[in-house]
Amino acid sequence: MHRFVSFTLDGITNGMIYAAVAMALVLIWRGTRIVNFAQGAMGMVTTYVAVSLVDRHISYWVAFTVALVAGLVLGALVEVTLIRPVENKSPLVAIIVTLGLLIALEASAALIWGGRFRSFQAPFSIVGLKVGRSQIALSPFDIFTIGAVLAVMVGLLVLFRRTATGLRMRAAAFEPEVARLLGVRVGRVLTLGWALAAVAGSLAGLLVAPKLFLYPNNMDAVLVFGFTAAILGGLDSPVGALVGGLVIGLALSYVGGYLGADTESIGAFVILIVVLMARPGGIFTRINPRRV
Amino acid sequence: MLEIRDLSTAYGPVLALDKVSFEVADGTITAVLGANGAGKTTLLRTISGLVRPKEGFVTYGGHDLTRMAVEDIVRLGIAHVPEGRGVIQELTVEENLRLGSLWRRDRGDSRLALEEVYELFPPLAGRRGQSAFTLSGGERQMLALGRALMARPQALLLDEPSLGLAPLVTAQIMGRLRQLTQRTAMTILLVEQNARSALSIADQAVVLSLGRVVLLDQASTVAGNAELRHHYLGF
Amino acid sequence: MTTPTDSRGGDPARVSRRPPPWLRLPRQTLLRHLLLAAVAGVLAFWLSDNVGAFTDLQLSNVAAYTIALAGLTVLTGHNGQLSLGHGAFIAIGAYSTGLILEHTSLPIIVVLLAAMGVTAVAGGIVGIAAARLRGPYLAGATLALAVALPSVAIKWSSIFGGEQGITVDPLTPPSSLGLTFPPERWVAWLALLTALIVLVLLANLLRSRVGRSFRAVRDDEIAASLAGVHVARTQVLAFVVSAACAGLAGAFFAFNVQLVAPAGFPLALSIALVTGIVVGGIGSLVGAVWGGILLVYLNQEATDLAKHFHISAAAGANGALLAYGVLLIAVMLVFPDGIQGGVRRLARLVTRQ
Repeated sequence: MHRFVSFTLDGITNGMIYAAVAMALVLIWRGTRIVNFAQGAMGMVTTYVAVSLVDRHISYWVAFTVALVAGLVLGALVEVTLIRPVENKSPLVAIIVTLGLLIALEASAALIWGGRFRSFQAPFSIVGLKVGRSQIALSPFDIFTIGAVLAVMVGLLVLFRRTATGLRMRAAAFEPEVARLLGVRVGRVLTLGWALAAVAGSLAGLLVAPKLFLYPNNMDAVLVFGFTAAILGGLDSPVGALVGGLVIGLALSYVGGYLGADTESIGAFVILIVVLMARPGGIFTRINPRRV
Repeated sequence: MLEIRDLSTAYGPVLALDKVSFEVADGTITAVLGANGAGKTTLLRTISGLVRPKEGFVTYGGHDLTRMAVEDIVRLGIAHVPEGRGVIQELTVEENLRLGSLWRRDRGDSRLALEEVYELFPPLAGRRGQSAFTLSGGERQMLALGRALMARPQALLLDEPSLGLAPLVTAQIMGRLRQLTQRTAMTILLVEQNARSALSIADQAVVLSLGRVVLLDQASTVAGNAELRHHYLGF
Repeated sequence: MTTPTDSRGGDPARVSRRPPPWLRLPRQTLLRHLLLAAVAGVLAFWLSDNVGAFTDLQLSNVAAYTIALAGLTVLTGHNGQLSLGHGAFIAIGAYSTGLILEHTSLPIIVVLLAAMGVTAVAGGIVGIAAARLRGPYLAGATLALAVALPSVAIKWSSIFGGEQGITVDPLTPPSSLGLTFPPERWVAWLALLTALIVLVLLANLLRSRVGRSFRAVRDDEIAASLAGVHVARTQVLAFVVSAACAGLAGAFFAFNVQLVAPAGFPLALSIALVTGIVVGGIGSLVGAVWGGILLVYLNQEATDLAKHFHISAAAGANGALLAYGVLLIAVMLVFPDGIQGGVRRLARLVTRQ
């Protein structure tokens, strides 16, 4: 029983990180119909920026904020310089661009900061809390992780549903031509979408580093599982990103825990296939009858 | 005044508009008629900037629209209700309406405009919080029209507003359009396949065939001349 | 609007631009492809005959990648299904080869066919499971497969050799070639011959009705099904064909590396394949050849450059990766049709002179 609770808590914490990455992918997919495979690597780079600041004795929280802002800027930059030119070409072209960016970012990080594993201390302990006499698999840092991702998700939700900017983003995502006819500057909205997505990605990077260490490839697995989570929940659905993240997180935790660590990815694959065979568009597919 | 001069638009090798020229005086309604594929929709899309012409000009208020981006043309006071209405189904009725005036700075006037639209189209008021997916054809047309009106446009480009609607609903909508022009001196360019209803409210009629203007005259003249009507419009 | 025609019904202006009769290719598909393959074959074998063992190994790798890329070209370029997990099929082919050679002593041709067959079956299973998936959803499922498959080898280590993997004994050339015939050249010959056969077969397939149905489904599923094409069957067939190719490639990777281990099939391999077909020129079998050359030689050139400039191996490797990433982006921004597209454009410019 104790193991089950441990696995569950672990699964939730990791699941929130996957949800953050999934959220970033969903944001970009809705706006530009592209899967940004470089999302994890972008988060890794901004985390290195934070680490560099911390090395120079700047406070963690300042470094944290700078990393998020750097993500914002990086996302906007990537959209304007790399994605805008290929938006109208075949979707495969954009995928290759993001893959190229992924490879280039990881190689650059290795060249600039070296390939060794760095530790990144957060001002929260990563040791499990004590409940009564036993220690549970939930540390102050885990609580911070869950809280931070939830905060970002709620923030994005409020942005989408209650602000004019959010309305513009949703309109541009659903019907870009109609949105233009209503005066929405769709180009700017797309750039904003990429910027916000990169913030979510940066957050994921910052949350991963203290436990998994920081090295150029540390976000690879996180991206793969985040992508799996986004697909599971339905690429058009922000709620799906959260649900998908939690499902993958818990699944990996249970499968890895009960059946051995090397079976984790097999478990993720099986769950994904089972869900997709039943719902080929993910759990929360959009209501969009195909116009023939 | 909206002036269209020698406008030609091509889709690849196909010429959809061939040197189209006419004027629309402020505060009047011009009906653009013709068979399917005659170029009516392309004409509106070229004016609103969705498509760039091969040659020719569209001037409005001293601006050459053929050199402007869609979003900037909207800010000149031109509203285009596209073919199929473009109602965004995933948004609510009120969200669709609010979208129409987001680019304007005057929040207070936007709220006022919203109330005016609800007054003009009561069925929308009753459904303001509902997803636009649930609306009937006639209600969607009202929503698309109302959304265009939210920005208090000076010129309205309407692409087949009667499409898929029952004759009674079409008549109501045409009547409202007539009222609007009389009240607000709005200019309307009305593309219609239903020539009869369009002619009933229009001041001027333009008939397109294979991208060319084949008839340009007062609407009353066209409606009154049986031979013209038969030859160009089939009724 | 009529243009004057010559006696054969062609536009005379165009006729004068065609290459002279002795340079033109025969009109029948099979004959044309065989002729091209024969020319390429002669060139390739002459090349391999005059280089050392290491280059033979590289040629063999190029051939293996080309086979895999050709299969992926059919699946993704012509049938529109994006697979981010074809490294998994290469792994299946490699492991099949390793296991067969470990437990039996069947002749090489049987081993190759068996590896191809097993992988084709796997491709069929995946194709059926993924029949309803489209676009990014299919991509995600194949990605998950590529990540999960190496774990299977680790988990069931008694069969698959775990992390250490299975060793593959070097292939001995047949005695008819002489006792001093280098084994690397023998593998290179086999690989090149297989690659040529695969390319000819696929080229014919793509020109046939089956190839047309692949493209019809890619371009518009509903229209295709209305025209009588069985969409699901087409999708599965494309998967089977591409998996079979990957399986063959896997067999040759097993011969080249002489080791089949999970570390040899990381996600990066699947990613490299996708980048290879797009940079080579999506939908083009010749593009698959460019892709194969690129994947093998870029890596090699970078390592050489690193040694030349005395940078550390790690920095050299990362420099190579950085260059590859930038190259991918640059090629996509400037040449979305890939290398083969660029070649075609160049050819058109030249023949217009």
